Amino acid sequence: MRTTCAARAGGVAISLLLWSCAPGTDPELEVLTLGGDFELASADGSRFRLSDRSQEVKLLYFGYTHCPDACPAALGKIQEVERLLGAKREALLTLLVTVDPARDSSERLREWLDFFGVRGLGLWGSEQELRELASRYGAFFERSPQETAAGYLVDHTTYLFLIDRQGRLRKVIGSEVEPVRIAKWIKQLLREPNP
Amino acid sequence: MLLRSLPQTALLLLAPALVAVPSRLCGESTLGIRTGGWVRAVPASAEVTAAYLVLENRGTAIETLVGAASPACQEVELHETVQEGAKMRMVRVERMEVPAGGTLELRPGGAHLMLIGLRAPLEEGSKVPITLRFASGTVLEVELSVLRAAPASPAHCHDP
Repeated sequence: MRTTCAARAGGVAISLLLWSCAPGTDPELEVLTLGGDFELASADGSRFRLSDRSQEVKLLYFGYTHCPDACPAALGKIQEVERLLGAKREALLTLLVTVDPARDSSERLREWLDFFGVRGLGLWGSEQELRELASRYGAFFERSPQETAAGYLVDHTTYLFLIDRQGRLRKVIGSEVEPVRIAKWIKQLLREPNP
Repeated sequence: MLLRSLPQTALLLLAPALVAVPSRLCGESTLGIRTGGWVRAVPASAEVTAAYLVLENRGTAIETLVGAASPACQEVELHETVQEGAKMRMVRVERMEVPAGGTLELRPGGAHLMLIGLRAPLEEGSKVPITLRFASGTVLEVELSVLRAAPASPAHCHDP
């Protein structure tokens, strides 16, 4: 095992070697106290509950479809993560939670996921449900007071929340993190035992 | 997925040849754009999108971008995405400066043109004409390609 790992790691840093040999012990993916189970409306009219999807690692993103810059970029990034995952992409579920419930329907969110070729669910809730969920995960959103011909814009956090198959938050990923690193973390979570 | 990504990959490879042909060639004018400018492709129901480009000012005075318009949409606004701690804010601005002998980069996660009230769905690979107005009175007509993602490495505009 050690030889295999060493060969695989090539001349990269020892920390990386240890990381690849011992999945689950990476301090980068410690279980975080934020987050937790939740329920929201899904595009098909059913209720989505996080704890019902125990076979997939989840990427949770708070965004909206009138967002011209950050949200399409985030979905494009997830698309790249899926490409990097190859066959394992089936084990990743993206959850696009709206921060603009007045204009976004869950169908509209689904259209966005389809457009970007992302395997995921558009989730919708009342303003109160969404605020409660966002605060539990350490996300934030508010209507921008700026005047724009687009009606209004929503200021929001652009984190991707990486959730393991047991529904535990394992990483809060900033928008600067490259897809290759995210894919690596997801693969790592998929190597962990799933009781 | 593979089928979906193949044309896209081909498009990205061709991107340097496809994108951003300003009506005034970069090398002949004091104000121009580098090749590689693009408009983000969005789903058919989308009402807004963003355009990105790099403005080059070869002159000796600051050029200030004060407005833009496009037949593809009702309004074009100048916006900046500003990261404030963990929060991403969109800030509408009235002007953007292109320093003398320098560039102004409009890119994802930063300054961009916001195309509002799209009149028709933007076809990936099609071109969107945009008129850029500067405080000096200069008007720059550009055409940007509709792409799903930024071209890999935008080529620079070289002197002839």
